[in-house]
Amino acid sequence: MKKLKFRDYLAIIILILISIFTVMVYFVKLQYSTRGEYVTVYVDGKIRYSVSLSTNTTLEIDTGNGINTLVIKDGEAYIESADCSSQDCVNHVPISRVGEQIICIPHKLIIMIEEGN
Amino acid sequence: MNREILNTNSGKIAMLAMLTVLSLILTYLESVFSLTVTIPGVKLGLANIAVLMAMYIYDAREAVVVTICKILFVTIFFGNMYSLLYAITGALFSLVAMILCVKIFDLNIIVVSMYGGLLHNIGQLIVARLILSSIALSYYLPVMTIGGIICGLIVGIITIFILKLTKLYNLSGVYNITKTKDLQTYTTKDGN
Repeated sequence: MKKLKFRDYLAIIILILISIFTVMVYFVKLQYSTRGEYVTVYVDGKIRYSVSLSTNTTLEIDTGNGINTLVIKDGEAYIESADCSSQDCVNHVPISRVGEQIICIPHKLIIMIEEGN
Repeated sequence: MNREILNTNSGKIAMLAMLTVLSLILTYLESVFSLTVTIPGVKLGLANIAVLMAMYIYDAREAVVVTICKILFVTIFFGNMYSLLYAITGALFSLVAMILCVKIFDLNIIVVSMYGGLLHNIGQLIVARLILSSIALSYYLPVMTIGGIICGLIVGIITIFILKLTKLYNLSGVYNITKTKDLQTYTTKDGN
């Protein structure tokens, strides 16, 4: 491997700083997050449903590009099943804090935790 | 493979074609065993090995060519509108960063690769933010930036091994782009 010059070390330090910065952003966000009260379902950028987190429900959402099944249970929300090819939304951990989301990109679906009314 | 053949027009076409195919194979490989299942959006980016190789065997222009061909083929065979958009912005950011690192800042290949991976993920995050317009995507920020940097590190190390073992690195013999005028592409006597 070629000798590392000062430039390279500087660039690596910048990368480390960027990483630390992003981790700090993440923890600051975490500090300010509180348990949410509502799950808002956005399809293609528009609000379709708004469901309380305190009631256990199962909701089948027909997004026009596919179907996602949203389950609210014990104060958490998650997507139980979906007919999208990547299944990122199904594999996501259940969300419960304000600002957290589960998104299904091919179906243009976002479920987000919000607070207040 | 010796250097004179690689520098002919037809040799170059053959080499770039092989690199493009290599990137397709790597893209398929990583979709089989990758971490995408556990961490959404973070891929190993192995296809960057081919792009980096094009960059260090030839020059920035050839790396761009390989990237464009790879994106074209992947979207034609596996893709949809969204994957095209994400792929283009990711590649755009990544290539700009890598070309800057190599041409202007003259950095080591591993550092170049790390910035390439990082900017690729940042580009995709930006597209996701524009399409989905939601601020909570910043929850993904640390995973994707650190993941991109680490994946870039791995890709860079693998690329160094490949370049060393096949002795494919460019004329100066070090992992540093020579000035383009040293790297002449010429035609052989029978007009290749």
